[in-house]
Amino acid sequence: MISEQQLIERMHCLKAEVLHRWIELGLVQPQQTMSGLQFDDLDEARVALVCDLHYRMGLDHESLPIILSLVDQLHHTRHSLRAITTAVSEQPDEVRVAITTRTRIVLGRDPSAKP
Amino acid sequence: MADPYKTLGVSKDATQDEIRKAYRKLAKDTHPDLNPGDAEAERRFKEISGANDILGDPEKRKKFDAGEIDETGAETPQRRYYREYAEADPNMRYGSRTYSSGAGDTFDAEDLFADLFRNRGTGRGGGGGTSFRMPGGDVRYTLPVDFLDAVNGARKTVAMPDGKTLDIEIPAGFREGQVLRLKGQGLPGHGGEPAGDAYVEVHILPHESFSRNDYDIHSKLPISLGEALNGASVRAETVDGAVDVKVPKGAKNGTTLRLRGKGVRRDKAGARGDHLLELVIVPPENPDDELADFMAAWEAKNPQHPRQKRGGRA
Repeated sequence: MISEQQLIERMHCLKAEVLHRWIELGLVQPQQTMSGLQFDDLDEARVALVCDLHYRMGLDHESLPIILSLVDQLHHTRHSLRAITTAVSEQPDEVRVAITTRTRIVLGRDPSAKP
Repeated sequence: MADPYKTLGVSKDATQDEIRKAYRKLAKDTHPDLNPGDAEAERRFKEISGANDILGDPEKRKKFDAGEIDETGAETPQRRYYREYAEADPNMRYGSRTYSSGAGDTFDAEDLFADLFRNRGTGRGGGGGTSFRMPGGDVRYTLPVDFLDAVNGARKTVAMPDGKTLDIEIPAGFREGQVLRLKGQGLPGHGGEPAGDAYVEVHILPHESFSRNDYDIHSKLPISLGEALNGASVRAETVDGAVDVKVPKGAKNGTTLRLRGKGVRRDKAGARGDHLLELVIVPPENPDDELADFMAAWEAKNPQHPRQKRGGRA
């Protein structure tokens, strides 16, 4: 966990008022504690990402929430998908084969089969 | 070394021209040859030149802004990207935020199960199998809680990764790592089966002056040398506000005072642990000759042996 001051020092391009705007928009959600805002590794990496999008790629505050929402949905989906693949990989061989075969068919990747 | 923007006194979005002007002005003011005999000027001049080496060069400035090099121009350690953290976060804290309108309908493993089981029966090849029934799964969250909220108890409204909000009652005297069970707040059941439970594991954030040992609170109480010698009544912070504490005459550094019943609640009847105050004697802030002379004269009459073990020498 690092403080707001430490975070601003690490992110050279970032100004406090811009960070506050991002928190207001809900793009970054640090811990509110008695001694001020606290940012963990996840928050810090996220701030670095938003810095890149805003300062280096020129995304304004209208488009940032849309892009981040898509990024979040993608991560959430990958998270869920990984849970499912892990569950499948732990199944007996015949179950894994059946699921893999059927998935290929549904995706249209098996020319010999009809979906 | 300091932040080069601060060293040159320019804002983070200053133009190259503004940086050049700021550097020239500071360089003139601090150049060692223009300030003979001023040792501080040389140090300042070096710092200013170092800052200008980075900010004056648009390429280096860009790298510095991106965090690829530090203020000395050395490469900073490899950055860890957001995706490494995002997918490893079991809470999916930034999972499905609804800050842009229309979003928030995120694909989830549970949605997939719902799809799977809906298709059963009407599905191709399934031939009308029995409808699938399965109770909802339990979920686990971690919740950081302020030190004083854990001691005194608090109500918290917490946003869950799926966008739901939960009201959580944290009882007074909550311990690190204790788990709250919220019945029926887990994942939904399928085919009419009940929902699972949510388990919330509480992590207590540190407090800047208090620490906790079971039911006792520990903190340090700074007192002046005069207060230690003569005894005094001083204000001390506890978890439920400031109280007056009597410092005994001749108090020693490290002496612990026990405030009974000012600690953490230990049972439903309201019994509480204690607050332990460790006395820290702070030497006089601005000792003058009067005090120094007095101490020298006093110690001449009363030799002190602070580095000898007690009982070692009479």
